[in-house]
Amino acid sequence: MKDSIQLNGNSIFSSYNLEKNLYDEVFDQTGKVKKYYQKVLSLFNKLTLQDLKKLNEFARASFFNQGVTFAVYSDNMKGVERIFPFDLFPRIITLKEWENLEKGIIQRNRAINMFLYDIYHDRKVLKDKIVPSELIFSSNYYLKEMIGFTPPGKVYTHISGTDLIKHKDGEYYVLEDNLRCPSGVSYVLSNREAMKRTLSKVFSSYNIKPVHDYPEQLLSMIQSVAPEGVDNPTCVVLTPGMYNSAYYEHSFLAQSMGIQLVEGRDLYVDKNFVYMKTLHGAKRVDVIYRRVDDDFIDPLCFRADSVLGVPGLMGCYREGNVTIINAPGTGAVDDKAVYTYIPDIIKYYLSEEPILKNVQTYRCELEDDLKYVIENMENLVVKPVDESGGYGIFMGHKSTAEQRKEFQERIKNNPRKYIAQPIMSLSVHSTFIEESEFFEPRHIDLRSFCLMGKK
Amino acid sequence: MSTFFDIVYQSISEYEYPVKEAFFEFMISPCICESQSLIEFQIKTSTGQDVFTTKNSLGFNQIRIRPAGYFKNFKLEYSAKVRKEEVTNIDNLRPSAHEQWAEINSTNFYIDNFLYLHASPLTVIPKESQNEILIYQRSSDLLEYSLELNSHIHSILSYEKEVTNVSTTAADVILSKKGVCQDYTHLFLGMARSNGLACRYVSGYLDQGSTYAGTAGMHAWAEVYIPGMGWTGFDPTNNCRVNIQYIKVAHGRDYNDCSPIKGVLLSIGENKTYHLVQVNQQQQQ
Repeated sequence: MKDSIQLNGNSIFSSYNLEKNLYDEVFDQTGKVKKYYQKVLSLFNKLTLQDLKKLNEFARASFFNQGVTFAVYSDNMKGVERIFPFDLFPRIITLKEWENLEKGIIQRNRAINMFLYDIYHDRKVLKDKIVPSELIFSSNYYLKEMIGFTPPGKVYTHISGTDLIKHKDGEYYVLEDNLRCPSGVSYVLSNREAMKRTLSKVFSSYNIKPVHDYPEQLLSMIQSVAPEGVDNPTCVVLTPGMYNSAYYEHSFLAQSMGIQLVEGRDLYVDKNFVYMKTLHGAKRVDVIYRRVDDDFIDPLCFRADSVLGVPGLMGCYREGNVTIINAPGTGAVDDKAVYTYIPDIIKYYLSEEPILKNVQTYRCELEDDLKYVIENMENLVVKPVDESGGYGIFMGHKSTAEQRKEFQERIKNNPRKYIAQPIMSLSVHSTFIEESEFFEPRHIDLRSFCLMGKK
Repeated sequence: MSTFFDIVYQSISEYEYPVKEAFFEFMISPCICESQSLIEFQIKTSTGQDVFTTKNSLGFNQIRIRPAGYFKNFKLEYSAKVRKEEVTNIDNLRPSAHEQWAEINSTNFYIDNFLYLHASPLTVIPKESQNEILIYQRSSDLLEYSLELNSHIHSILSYEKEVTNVSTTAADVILSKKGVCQDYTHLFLGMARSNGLACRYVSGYLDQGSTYAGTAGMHAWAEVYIPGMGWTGFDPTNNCRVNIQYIKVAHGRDYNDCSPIKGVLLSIGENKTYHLVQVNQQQQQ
């Protein structure tokens, strides 16, 4: 099979291992490179291993110098910062594929936004029994403080991050919706920058859609949802501070939009308006793009021990004097159990067939589903409904009998907390592995970012 | 015929070290509802800043102030004149017990009133105490049950000050069997909600000319939704139904939604806060 890959002498792809039962984004089943990867592959085939290692080092240095880092929270390490790993070999999404994805993502997020408005107003979707009301009311992210309140332009999910995978059937599936404070867009931008610097030739061989205008578009979206009657809104990015895992992104976005990066202690509330403390005195703030979770944004409304937020903020928001992005309470939909109802939600509000597929999901709160999950633990991935970033996930095929038993108990004790999905076979992509100094197939997913402003 | 009340609420805080910045939120203003109107009110503060008001998510007035500069004490005085109307007796408007249950057990009722049907952090009663709950028989009338529950709670608890605080839960009270008005109310709500009734916590003032317990500060009682009658007030602390001497400020799931004062301080050291309440009935006009 290796022979069928067109090699140029001592090619760096020469030991690429094509696995038959996986969907490879670059090569087809016979090992032939896909048409739209031909040009980039032939560029890479001209490189020697030494060239590639040099380029890789160059890219790493570029990331290090830009300070592009991330952190993973775990019990024994307190947010150790790491350089964001970057893969030199680009993933290509064809225009045709992208246009369908784009339509599907917009459709999905429009419906989600209408759903949010409904569950905080008339709750028709619950009364019509499309979504079980208990599912919404038992969510910790469903905020009573948002009931009956309408944010400017009826927009709740100004920024949403839809995660997609491609299964071995070659189709895209939505894995989850991130509707609270989705992060990661700064990596998209710096990856593209690094790609331009290291592999400029790729850009002359393809007609590539730009991403560099994201901060510009983000800013105009933010300005579009300013409170009624404010012409030149003052907008800020609110960060929990430099110890947050995504702090790099917060500062990057503020800087590239040309707006202030603030912490809770830089803001205060007076007479139902929010003010920022500046060297030149108080300045009124109209829009807050907050990267602080709902629980922490206002100690008078939510967690009283929070020092990351602004006391009194929710009152100003309810008075319509400040806009919060994303709206508080969007997490009620950013829940893996609600996820399973999104296709029904799309049909209900838009009377359209969903463009993007959902992964088959079993809801442990339903008796039949629970039974199936308990009996088929090895073949499933079980996830807590309210965690993000891969925390608390049970992987059936990698588990021991003992672990399965222990997890079964956990599910039985709190079925509402868990959903299960068949193990999806994520597509693979040629990836340069530093340790082996070869290209190897690696699983990939796709995080999209969708902006929604006021027309 | 109208009855008029003069209400004065004072909050006095003293700090060990000067406070640089603070933010206070008061829920002390009588609400405007069917039988009650606010004729006038006045607010005075010791630090001189203007107060501002907003409404919480349930529509009740919050008086807010941000005192800044350095201060070692803070005083707020709120005074108001309230008019109350006698409510006509609507007890006999309620449908049969069966119809009452059918209404409060319907999906739409649940969706519209879930806030008051779910146990909230301060009203949850744990499994091991479930046998203490006064059980509502589906065949019984909601008004009769509520009255029975009201006297049941009144009889099992003894009124004692300073044995509980604002974070005491119904679960604590069911064990200790003592407390003040908010503890009586939380236990009432916990038991009623365990039985599938919609009910809410109410904070307010009580006429000091009455013989009731709980007139010294702000008072608390419960409202139960009874089909045909609407939200109906019960005061388990005094084993009675709410009447013209009860002046409502706000309602919510439990004390946390109605707490009269909340604040955030930028300071160190100890601080003490006192409240003084005066409620006087005027001559009838």
